[in-house]
Amino acid sequence: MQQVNKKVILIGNFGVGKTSLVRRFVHQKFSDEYLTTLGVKIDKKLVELNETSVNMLIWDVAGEVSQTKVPTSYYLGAHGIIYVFDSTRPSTFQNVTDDLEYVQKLLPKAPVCLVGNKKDLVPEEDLNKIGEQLQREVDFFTSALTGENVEKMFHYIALKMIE
Amino acid sequence: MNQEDEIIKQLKSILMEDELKKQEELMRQIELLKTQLNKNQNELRDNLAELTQPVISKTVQNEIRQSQDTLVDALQPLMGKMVRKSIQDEFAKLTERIDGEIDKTFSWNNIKQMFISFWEGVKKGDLVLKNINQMSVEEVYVIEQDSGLIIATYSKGNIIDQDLIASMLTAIKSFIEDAFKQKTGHLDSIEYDNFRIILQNYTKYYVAIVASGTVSATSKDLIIEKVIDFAQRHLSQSERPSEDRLNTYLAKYFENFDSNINIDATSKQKSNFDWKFWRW
Repeated sequence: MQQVNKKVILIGNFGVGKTSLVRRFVHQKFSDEYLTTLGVKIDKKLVELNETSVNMLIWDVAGEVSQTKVPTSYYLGAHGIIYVFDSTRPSTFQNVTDDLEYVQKLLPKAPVCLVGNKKDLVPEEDLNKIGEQLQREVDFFTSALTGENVEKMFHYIALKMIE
Repeated sequence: MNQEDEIIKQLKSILMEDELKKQEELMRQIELLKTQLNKNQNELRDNLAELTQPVISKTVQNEIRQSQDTLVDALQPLMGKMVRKSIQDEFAKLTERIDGEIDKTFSWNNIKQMFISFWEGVKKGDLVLKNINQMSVEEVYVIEQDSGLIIATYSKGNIIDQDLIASMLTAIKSFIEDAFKQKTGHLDSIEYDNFRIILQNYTKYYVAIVASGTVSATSKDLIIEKVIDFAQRHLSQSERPSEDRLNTYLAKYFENFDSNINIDATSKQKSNFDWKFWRW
């Protein structure tokens, strides 16, 4: 089986659950204790697809997407982008379009996966409303607590990166 | 018969008068064109360089501008080696001058120090450090500048997750370079406990060498020379070899490096010894 190395960046506002998603995906664990990420945290996981195994180096970048607060170089060279927002806090998905526009300018070839986390805390009909509010389709609504759609979401971005 | 021919000839000239005139005119124009063409050809031959130079230089300039990275990658190892050599030569001269001054010092202590130094063939300070803690190259990583992904590795122990180490090194490097807003500068080394990580930067990639023990300036130079040589031979090509092949090359470069480097470093220092000592 062919193996490829890919860098994925996880971005989004503070407290949306980026680190929890990585923790759930890589270590199959969840903790409700909140520890803010300083700078960047890097993890890796091998995702096996049909004929390729993707060695994903996941860069969990600390809060904010703004160009003044996060070193641009953390984003450079990434093969995939996961933008996470908190489904319970509208303030975390108000700037999705601008933020993604900025990151996509830096990484024009990288596929983007838009993720609404904390699905377990929001009723299904409200999730649909979020989808309607945003100008682009939400690829996954996930829950780091229950693990719902977490694996699916990472497999999706892995697949997109090798397409 | 002759009369008939004459009549036909006259008839012909009367009937074809216009055509004949046209033919003459055409011939005249062809001759003119021939002369013009020859003239132009000669002019072009004489001024070819002058006429084509602006176009060629513009094309070459564009080509260079578009493939700047490739050019820099190809030139950097060569330039690095030249600059390094020149700096080393200057340092050697400086050392000679300092040694000359020291020679002039008449003290028993100095005589004793010099005697030991001579006997071992190395400088006293370096000798003490060297004997305490010998240098060893533990790991070598060739890492992509932006993504932090590994291009090639050499490891003695395989005790750590190389992918994560490479990514974290890249993150640290990015953070420092961003924090100090250095567009051209680079992080050169990181020190931790008994380890020193030496970083050698290129445009698209950088090389990180993890060394344990005492890394003297001479040893560091030898390591960097080795890295430059490796980069020049295997990484400057337009088509980079596969990761497996690069790993093999890297292993060949650094497998017996520790034993050789300590001998090399000693012999380099030995060459700095001033035989004037004996005359004194």
